[in-house]
Amino acid sequence: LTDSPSDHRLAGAIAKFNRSKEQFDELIVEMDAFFNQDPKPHHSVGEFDTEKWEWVERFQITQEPPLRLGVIFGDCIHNLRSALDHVIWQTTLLDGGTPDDSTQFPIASKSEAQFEAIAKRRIAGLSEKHRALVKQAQPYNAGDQAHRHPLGVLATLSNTDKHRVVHPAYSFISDDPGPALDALVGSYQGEDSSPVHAFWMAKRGTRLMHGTPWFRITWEPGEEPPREVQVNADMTLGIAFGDIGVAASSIRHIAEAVLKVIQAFMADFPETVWED
Amino acid sequence: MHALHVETERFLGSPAYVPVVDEDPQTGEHVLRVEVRKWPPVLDWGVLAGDAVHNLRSGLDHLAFALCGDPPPNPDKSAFPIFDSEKGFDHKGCELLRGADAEVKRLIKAVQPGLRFKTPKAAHQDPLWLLYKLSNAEKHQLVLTVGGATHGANFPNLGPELERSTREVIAVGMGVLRKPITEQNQEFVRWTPDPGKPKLDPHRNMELAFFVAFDPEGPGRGLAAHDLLRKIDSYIRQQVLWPLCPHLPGMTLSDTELMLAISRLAVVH
Repeated sequence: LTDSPSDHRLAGAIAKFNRSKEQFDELIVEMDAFFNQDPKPHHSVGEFDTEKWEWVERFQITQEPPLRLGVIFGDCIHNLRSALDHVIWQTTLLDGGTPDDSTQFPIASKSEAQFEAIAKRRIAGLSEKHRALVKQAQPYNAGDQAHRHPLGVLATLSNTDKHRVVHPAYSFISDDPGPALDALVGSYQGEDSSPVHAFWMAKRGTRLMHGTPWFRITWEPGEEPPREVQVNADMTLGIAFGDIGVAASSIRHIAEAVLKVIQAFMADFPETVWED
Repeated sequence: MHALHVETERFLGSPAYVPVVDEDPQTGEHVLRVEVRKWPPVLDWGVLAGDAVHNLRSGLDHLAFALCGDPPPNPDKSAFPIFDSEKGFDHKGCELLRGADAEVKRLIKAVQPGLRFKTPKAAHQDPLWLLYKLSNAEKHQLVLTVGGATHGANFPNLGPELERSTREVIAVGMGVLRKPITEQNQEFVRWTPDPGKPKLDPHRNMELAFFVAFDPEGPGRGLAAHDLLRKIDSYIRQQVLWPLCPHLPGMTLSDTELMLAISRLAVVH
């Protein structure tokens, strides 16, 4: 949504949505700055474990992601959540209702009954058609995947950010280890059989904690252990937030879900003009 | 808050508003209008103000959450109560602080707008009440309206002929006192000039001051946007955070000294 003419009744919702995009961009810049600082906030140290006969690389954390990242993340989440509420406020007016302090976009992840209970107060002034649109967008419709529904995640993140704590940020592995392991398995160029019994890499999503193993090379029993292993691979790291571990990149999915709602309602405002 | 300040100062620094005095040919009255050469990005400013409001309000809730135990007995209902009556606080506010010790509840009760002032009207001028209203509006209802307004007028170069025109000067002064600019060539005041006297020259005889304010009809009550947000911020630091921070779990004396230093720094700024 790039254009938000201020005479459109949903201009406020669109401005909120666009602000969340600016904050997301700011978050990406700050995350890059964190990862690319000198010295790096994380590095790896390896040693040979003589009991297990394996080389183990472990994360060394010199700096955790700053709290500020959680604050920016929270601002972004707040504006997305707020954009939904603004849509309902304006749509209530459009439908001839009278919005009040209870008016909000309801988000129900548990059940239809939960939705009905919340909707009584939140969207009392909406027409049947618009009520149905809200109902259609509810996370509970996703059944056992409701907890992963973008709007359900948005509600959880927003409530925590607004009322309880800044979402703590932590680094995690965002690479799938599969291709790297495949390349390693076929990489031995010696004349004899490979002295390596197995490779192991931490899976995608593993949280970076000080001392956590992320790479192991198990040697064949009896093979001479290496004095040194040089790990040249660059690992792609990401930052996730909160107890539920939402990756920063997931904001895109949440934003898409919010945009879908805004667009669905926007179609019913007579001042909306669609361009190709 | 800083972003809003930078944006609005930049805007006011440009010649966005130009005062014009013309004569109404029908009545012969002089009319002071403001020509708008650049419209303010009202929505963008409103969203920035909303971000500041959200973080100020949210900071209070985080404080209450931390003061209600680890974990609070009722984490989903924990919030920093803001009530304009003692009854409201006693009935609903205490419930939001379940798990907090009695002294914390007493301190939070002491800063309630309804207890600091005798009448609801006075309580509604309280910084916490203004924050409460601004926060509800920006989160659930509308982008806060933040726009340009006239602040007041100075008359530095009236000259000997115009010095006698006190009536005209007062009329202009009153006409431009804190009024939002919403239309092109908006009329602010009209007056009947003294016969035979030269017309007030808006560029030579008067200096109009402009500022950026919340909508007078909205929860910001026409107050200067950045000033109000700073006032709320400063109030929270000194009157809420400072007395309550010694009660935060794990807070040491040196931490509290640091908090005091931060509060004082905010005042200096």
